[in-house]
Amino acid sequence: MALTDITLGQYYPAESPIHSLDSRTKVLGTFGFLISLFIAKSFTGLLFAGLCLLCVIKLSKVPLRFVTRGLKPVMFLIIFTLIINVFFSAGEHMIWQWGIIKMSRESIHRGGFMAARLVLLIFGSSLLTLTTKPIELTDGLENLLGFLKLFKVSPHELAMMMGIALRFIPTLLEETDKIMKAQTARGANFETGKLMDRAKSLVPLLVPLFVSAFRIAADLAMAMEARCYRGGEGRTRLHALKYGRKDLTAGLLFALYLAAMIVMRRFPLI
Amino acid sequence: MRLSIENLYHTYGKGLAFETAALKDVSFTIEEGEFVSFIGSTGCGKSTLAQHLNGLLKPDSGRVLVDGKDINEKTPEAMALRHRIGLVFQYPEYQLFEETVLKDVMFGPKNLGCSEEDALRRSRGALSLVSIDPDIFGQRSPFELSGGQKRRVAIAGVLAMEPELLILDEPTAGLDPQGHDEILDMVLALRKNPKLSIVMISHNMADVVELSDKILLLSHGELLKLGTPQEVFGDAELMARSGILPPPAASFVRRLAEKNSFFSSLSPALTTEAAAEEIAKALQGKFE
Ligand SMILES: Nc1ncnc2c1ncn2[C@@H]1O[C@H](COP(=O)(O)OP(=O)(O)OP(=O)(O)O)[C@@H](O)[C@H]1O
Ligand SMILES: [Mg+2]
Repeated sequence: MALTDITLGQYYPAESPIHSLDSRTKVLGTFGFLISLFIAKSFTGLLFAGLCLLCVIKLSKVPLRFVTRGLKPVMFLIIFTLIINVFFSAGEHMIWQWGIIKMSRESIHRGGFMAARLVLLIFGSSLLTLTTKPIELTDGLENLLGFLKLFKVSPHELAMMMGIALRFIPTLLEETDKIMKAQTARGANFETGKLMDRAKSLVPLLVPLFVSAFRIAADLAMAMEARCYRGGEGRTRLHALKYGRKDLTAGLLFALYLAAMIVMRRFPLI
Repeated sequence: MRLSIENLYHTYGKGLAFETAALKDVSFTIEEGEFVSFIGSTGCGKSTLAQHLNGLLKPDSGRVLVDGKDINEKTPEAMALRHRIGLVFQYPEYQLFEETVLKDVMFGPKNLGCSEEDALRRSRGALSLVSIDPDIFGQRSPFELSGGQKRRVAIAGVLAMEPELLILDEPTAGLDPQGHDEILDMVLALRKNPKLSIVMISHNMADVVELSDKILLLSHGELLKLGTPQEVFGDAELMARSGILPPPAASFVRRLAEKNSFFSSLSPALTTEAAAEEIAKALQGKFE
């Protein structure tokens, strides 16, 4: 896998009802979806959440494999969760035991449930960045975080920092790929060797990467200043955020979904 | 060393939204000691091709052969073959990382398994080749040098590996005229080595005609032509198809012939030197 294949924070351009929603609706919707995953107590709930998410993905015209690729970087975490829960947590109906390692009906159930929830968490949040341009996302967040002004924190600065960080992910990955290739051409070996050697072999990668990161950041700062950027005070927007009918529809649908999730919590089937 | 490329195909982002066929059925051969320039409009696949020549990118299909042996096999011999080919990336100065210039240049030879003394000897030699005095600059931090100096140190880092084929990807990009001339002088000096084949990627046609034995013209991932500068730039139809402008000296001679019928008998020239000679010869005729 090439480094540049990582999709974290990447946008997938398409024309779909999901893409054209107001970014605030999508942020709130995603946030609500993540919370709803914690409302669910049973597989029925998760299954229902998954099906609803699948519908939204279909609507958004983002190919499924773009959404699932978000899993790659966190695969380790998911497997770790699965193992800890299945083999190291208590349960009544023991299936198998060896020392402290034990497996029960309950622990398998719990492990599967946690892993499934994690997967849905990742899919839900990937879909947000896949269907929302970084700039829209930060505009939306800035607006939603407006209440922070009460605590003397500038929502604009927070949102700008987040936007730049998101924008930097693909740039830094590309840069890493380039430097890795250049050092490989000089005989560097990043793939094999003992742990100590591998750690050492990262120096020729990390030093130029830091230098590049600072250079890119300095260039960006210069470009922003050259366009008279001076913070959020008094800035107007080219694309003002406006809720439309679609957002109302989306809100109503989401309310229905949430209600269904709460009902299923009260009456779990499996 | 003789490098052959056979029916090379490469596609980026296979199966993704941004799938691009970067190379399509490219075949050619570079003989020992030859100087070949890769030219073509931006995004036509020059850098992609260059990265195949030393195995950094693997072809989707097709082969890269050094003296008849495939460099992409998974054997130690194939690895050794890849190490005989040195690639200098675009903006190579961004890959410097060591505390001192000398240590940075020694990185390559040491990775090849050279002893400390041997690496040091090779590195001093390589630095001299790029006109960086190892006694003056050797112990300095590479980050304290000027842009042109940094680039020459980075090139020395590859030269110290003593490649038999050196690939330079736009070695003069983004340098001021003086830095440009320094790099050009360096390439001219390297060119004198009859054992060293050189591939240069460049958008500067004046440099290309000055240096090249042969020119490889790419367009949208396809090889349009591999031939001498005369063959490539003399083919007006080919030039128009590829969207490449001829070197300034050639355009100048053509325009001169158009403007004044006296010069209409000028034969086409590619370098400034040749153009000046042609014009001088024509004028000589007039004044005698
Ligand atoms: N890492 C990559 N991932 C996806 N596509 C790529 C990648 N690198 C290059 N490409 C695409 O492949 C094509 C050829 O790129 P390449 O870098 O080889 O062009 P080039 O001839 O070197 O151009 P330039 O003169 O601008 O350096 C371009 O269309 C480019 O967009
Ligand atoms: Mg290039």
